[in-house]
Amino acid sequence: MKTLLFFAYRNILRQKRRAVLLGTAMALGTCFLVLASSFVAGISQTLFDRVMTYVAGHTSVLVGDRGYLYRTALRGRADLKERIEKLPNVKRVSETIGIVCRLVGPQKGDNGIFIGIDLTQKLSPAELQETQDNFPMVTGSFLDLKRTDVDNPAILAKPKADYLGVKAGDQLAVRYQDSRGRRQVTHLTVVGLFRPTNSFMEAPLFVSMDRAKILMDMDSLDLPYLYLTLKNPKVNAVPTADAIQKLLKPRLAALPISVVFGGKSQAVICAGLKSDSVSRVRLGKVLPLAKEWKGNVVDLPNSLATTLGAKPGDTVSVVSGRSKAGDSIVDRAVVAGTWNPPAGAEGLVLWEEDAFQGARSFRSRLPGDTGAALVQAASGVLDSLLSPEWTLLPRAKSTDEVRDQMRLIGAREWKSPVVAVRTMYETGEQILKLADALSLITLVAVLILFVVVLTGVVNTLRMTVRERTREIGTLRSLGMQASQVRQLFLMETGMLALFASLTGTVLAGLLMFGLSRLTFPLEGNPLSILLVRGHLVFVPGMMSTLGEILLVVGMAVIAAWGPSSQASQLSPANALRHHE
Amino acid sequence: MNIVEIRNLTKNYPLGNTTVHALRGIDMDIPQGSLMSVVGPSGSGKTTLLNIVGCVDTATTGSVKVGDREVTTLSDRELTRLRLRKIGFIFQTFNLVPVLSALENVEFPLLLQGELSAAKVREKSRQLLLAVGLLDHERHKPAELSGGQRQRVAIARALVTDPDLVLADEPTANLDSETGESILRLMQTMNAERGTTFIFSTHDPQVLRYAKSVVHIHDGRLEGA
Repeated sequence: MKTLLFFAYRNILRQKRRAVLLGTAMALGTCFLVLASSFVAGISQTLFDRVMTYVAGHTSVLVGDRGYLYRTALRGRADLKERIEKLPNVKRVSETIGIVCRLVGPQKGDNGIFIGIDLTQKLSPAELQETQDNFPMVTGSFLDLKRTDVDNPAILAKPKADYLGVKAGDQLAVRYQDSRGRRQVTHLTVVGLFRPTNSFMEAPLFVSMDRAKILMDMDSLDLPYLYLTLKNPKVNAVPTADAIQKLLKPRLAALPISVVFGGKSQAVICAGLKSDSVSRVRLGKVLPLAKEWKGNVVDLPNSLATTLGAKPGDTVSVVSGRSKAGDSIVDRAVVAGTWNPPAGAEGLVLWEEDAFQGARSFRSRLPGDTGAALVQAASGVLDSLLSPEWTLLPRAKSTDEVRDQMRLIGAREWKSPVVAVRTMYETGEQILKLADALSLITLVAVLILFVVVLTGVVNTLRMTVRERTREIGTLRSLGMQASQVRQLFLMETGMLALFASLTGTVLAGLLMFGLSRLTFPLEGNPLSILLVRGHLVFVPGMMSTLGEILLVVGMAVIAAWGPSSQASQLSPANALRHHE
Repeated sequence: MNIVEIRNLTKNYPLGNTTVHALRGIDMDIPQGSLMSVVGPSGSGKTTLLNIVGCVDTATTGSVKVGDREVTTLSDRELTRLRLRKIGFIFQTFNLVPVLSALENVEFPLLLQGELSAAKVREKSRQLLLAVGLLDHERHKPAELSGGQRQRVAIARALVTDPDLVLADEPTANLDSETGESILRLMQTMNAERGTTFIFSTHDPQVLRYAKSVVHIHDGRLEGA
């Protein structure tokens, strides 16, 4: 083996010009391969570690009040965040409020995304640096969002501010819908401007999470969207989402209310009863109703109807607690019928789901477990007609399924709060497909390149075998086995490919070093998605580079197999007779 | 004892639609320690006979024994092993490996054998180069040597494995007469000192005086046989 290696090495040096030309082609091919794969790895890392983390989280919990996913609140359930934080592989759980809004500046208006960020989170020095890298400030700092000397401090991207015609210290009007669906206009004070590191980062307008909750009319106990940053997100995103899905299984919703009629008032527990067309048909078979189960209607237990003197068709007042402002929340509901609750559910009032969930939403505090057992006791009779605390949407498996769910939410399929657990694979499927597509395009381009290069290898080797036929005859006469002749030619090709691919890798390293130092403009640049702070990002991996070198050497050796075998099969006598 | 025994050896080559009868029934015995010359004009079958005796070509019919082995039934692998251990070759055009130095060319068959340490291989090869008078040219590449020097290196290469039989196909054809004679004298010396059997082909009657025995071949037949 050592003898053959030495001999192969000498043979490479024999035809220097030919070896240099072929080696250069292979080196350039390797250089392109390493460069392209490092670039795709860079894009993938950018998408995963930066864009996906900030835009969607590796795994996210999306909540929507009363079935509207953009009313980003699950009332009174901030405790769920702590339970999710305790799941394995969860690095960080960030509360997020992201609302599409209209920004109105002195010059122009533009759409934006209003994002609340949690400034109380403890970040590691590396995470802090990463955040500063992602949002390099032109004016001010993120800590200015805590300022109390100005109204509603906000930070936005410099290009967006320039477009709107505002600068630090200016006020900016924002139109949006709050978490209860009310249209709001408020004024924000620009306290900082950042330079977006990629095109995704131009749209957000940041305010502190506390401020965002106030502007969105959310309680500190209300749960906004949760974006999770995970350890090893590619592996853990889906299992973590599945674990959260199990954790968030809802119970049936209960609400203490008072029913007032004819000057009498009775405190009772109330449950929501679904009123969609399918449920209404099923309901008709379970409950004797004098009036259709639609609009703001209640079904009173017989005992309560008797106590209050109310009968079907009467209008009763339903007092469902106090709002944050301290006002009583009073609804007027029509008695659609009376019913006889089963054992354990005595006195349970049934309320049309939409009105019931509306009342729950407007209460300043939800009652916890009060009445839950009573509602559960009724489930034997009313089965799935009872309204849950929230509707947990099935785990979507693709962007298409997410789109379908969004369409159903848009059609108000669910009247209860909705909760959806998603991963970046569904949310950012298109973005991730972009990385996959780039990998595929790169691979195909490189393979085509190598087919060309390897055709050169085959032709060169065939020529070499022809030129060295007489020498092959000599070697065979001296006692070299046919298999050793094949090994010799394979070693020559493999060695040349190894030298060439190592040279190509070094060249790729130098090119990456140079290219990553170039700064490209972000504005108006369609490729800005691929840039981080205006720079191309290359992430060469040791294992992937090693794999690429082995791929190049392996392909060259495979290509050389045919001519090498041809050389080994030459008869020594015929080879000795060969005249060049 | 015979180092080579040939019985009724024929060799046919296809050439287009015809068949060339290169050897037409050769019978001969070559005793060990011979210095034999095979003489005949071009195309008489000298090279074919040497190739078959040297196990680089196969017979069409007949029997060829080299040492105690019938070579017509051996596989390519076994024939190659036999060449490596028992037979040395000297070619008309020297056939040295151009990328190797004189010393490396001599070392090469020993390295293929893989039985001796690198130091012993080097020592033995140097001894052979000394014997052929080229030790001071050990680092020279074949292109840096004269024709005679190249053939001396080839002789050293042929002898380095201590073969029983050395076959030389017109070893002096590409050399001037003085150099050719020096090569033949060297072969004569090696035959005398080492007892190695040498068979060399030639069509030059001038070189016959160096042979202990001569066979004449014509149209694939031994003359006088």
